[in-house]
Amino acid sequence: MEISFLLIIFLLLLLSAILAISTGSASIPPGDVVNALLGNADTLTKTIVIDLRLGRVLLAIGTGLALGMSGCVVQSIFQNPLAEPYILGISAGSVLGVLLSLVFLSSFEHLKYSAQLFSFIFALLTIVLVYRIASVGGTINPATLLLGGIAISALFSAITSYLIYTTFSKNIATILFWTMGGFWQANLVSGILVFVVALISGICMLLFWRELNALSLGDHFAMNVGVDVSRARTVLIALVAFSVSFAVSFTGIIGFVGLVVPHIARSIVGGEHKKLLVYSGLVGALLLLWADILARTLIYGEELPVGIITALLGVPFFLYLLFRRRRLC
Amino acid sequence: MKLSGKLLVLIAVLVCIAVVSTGYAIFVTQTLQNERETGKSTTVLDDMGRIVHIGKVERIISTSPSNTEILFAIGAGHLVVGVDNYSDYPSEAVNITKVGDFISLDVERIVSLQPDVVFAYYGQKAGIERLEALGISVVTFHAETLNDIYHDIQLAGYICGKTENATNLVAQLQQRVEDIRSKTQQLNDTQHPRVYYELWNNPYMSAGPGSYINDLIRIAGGTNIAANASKDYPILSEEFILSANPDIIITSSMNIDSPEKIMQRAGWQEINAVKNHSVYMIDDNLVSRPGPRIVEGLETLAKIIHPEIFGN
Repeated sequence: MEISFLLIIFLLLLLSAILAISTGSASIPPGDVVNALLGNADTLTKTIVIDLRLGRVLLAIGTGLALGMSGCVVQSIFQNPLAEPYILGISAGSVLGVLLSLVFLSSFEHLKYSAQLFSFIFALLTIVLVYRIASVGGTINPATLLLGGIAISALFSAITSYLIYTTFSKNIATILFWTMGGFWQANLVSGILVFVVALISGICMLLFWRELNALSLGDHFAMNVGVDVSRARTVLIALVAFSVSFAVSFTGIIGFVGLVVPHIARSIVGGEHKKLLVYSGLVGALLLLWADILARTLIYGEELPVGIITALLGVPFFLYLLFRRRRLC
Repeated sequence: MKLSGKLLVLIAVLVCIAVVSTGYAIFVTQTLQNERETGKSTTVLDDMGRIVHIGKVERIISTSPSNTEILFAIGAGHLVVGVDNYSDYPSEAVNITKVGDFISLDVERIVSLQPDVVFAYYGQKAGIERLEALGISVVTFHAETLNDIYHDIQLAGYICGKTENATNLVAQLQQRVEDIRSKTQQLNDTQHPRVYYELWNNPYMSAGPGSYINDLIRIAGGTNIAANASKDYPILSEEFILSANPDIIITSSMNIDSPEKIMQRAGWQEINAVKNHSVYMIDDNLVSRPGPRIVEGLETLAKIIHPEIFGN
């Protein structure tokens, strides 16, 4: 039963990807889309289908993979169903990084992808900072990590707000995009990069399935069954930080996915992490892919922010699973 | 999970796959770029200091309402095949294909419209980068003063082959500005009414140094109460506004509060402007878009601030 369910989700993902590649503001008939993918089309169509649309699909899938699996990992490490990947300050660090790149690099306009670079570096720096704070006094425990994350997030948010106030008119466009998230900046290179990074991080997270199973039952339990708790936690958080920071530096802060997707996956396959991680990733990818399709097609000629769509899509499904579980009790 | 040899091999294989696929993506993107036409012989220096190569100019996309207005004003409106969502002037612009706004640009639509050049605006860095990566020429405009606006009109004229129209337009605009400036320059300091310009009502956002409105109020013979603020669009405290006691309040058309509502604000009845019913509304687009209509905005402000000189 499990293999067939997995196959169904994979098939859904594939079909959704095909739909996504065939949708867009330039109307290209399906036959031409296939031809373009194979290389038999004029340059314009190939640019749209391969560089823009395929890039976008890969970016959406990669981000969904990263957010879904990272959400699962974070919820298990902190034994907290409300945890989500941005919990240790990644989002605060990313937004601040982007703003700083706009403020300080405005004279070096030639530095392409500077926003992405700064976003990534600052998100990682934030996690390192939080870790250093939490490790003062010896061992790191989850509560201190969370509190450190909250403190640093608050500090960075304040700095960000100040920068927004002083440079409002110049940088409003970038700020709005960053806080709402979207895939319109995707191209083939960024799409493949995010997809590959998410895939590799995800596989590395999967290698820790035993540790995650143990950690989700509490630190003491995990130590008693022989898990090196602090090492496992450090490596897993590093994987979360890396994959999410990387994806978010191309898409802006897409909220809600990391929080709800693991719960949806848990309702389908339960809490065993070998399956839970995989399904978290796949459901996340599916959700974001569909969020992107809808964001582009709901209103003719306009693209809605992805974060709105993920909430509109995810919440009803999440509530449905919640009620179904309660009725069985 | 132990870091065994098998694991290291697995990770090494994954990283290789990552590098190879990224390299392939770069290769495909480059090939597409090479297939696109070159033959861009004109070189232009845009307002962000970027050197842009342009070929023929027959299809233009504007991603800023001010650029759209400039293009139509110099007679290049028929070349415009795409505009941003906010381009609404002149009326012909309303029917042109929309290509998104500063939050999200519809890159696909822009590419399929096959523009020869895109007139972007400062602050649209992400969009500019994406379009350039696709081989589209993007010229960036950025105006902070009237002189900058004259320069942008000339730049647009040069690119579109409408240099004469652009020069004539700039001359006309300069003349109209000079008509106003020559009269207000003769006023002494006490004859400058204090002006409070309200962009937004909650919180009270005004226009300060670095904004067009600040310059326009000065040329029109008024004193902007926010002239010494820390930024171009500061948030003023109610205390500051009340103690500044403006003689004239001008509100933007974007403001939720109308002049009537402003006059009804508790505690504002003692302000000169409210006592004299000198609270007016102005079309925001006339004073915030760095294009030819900014002079119309100036003339409107002059009539409000000095009706005894300029009539109303």
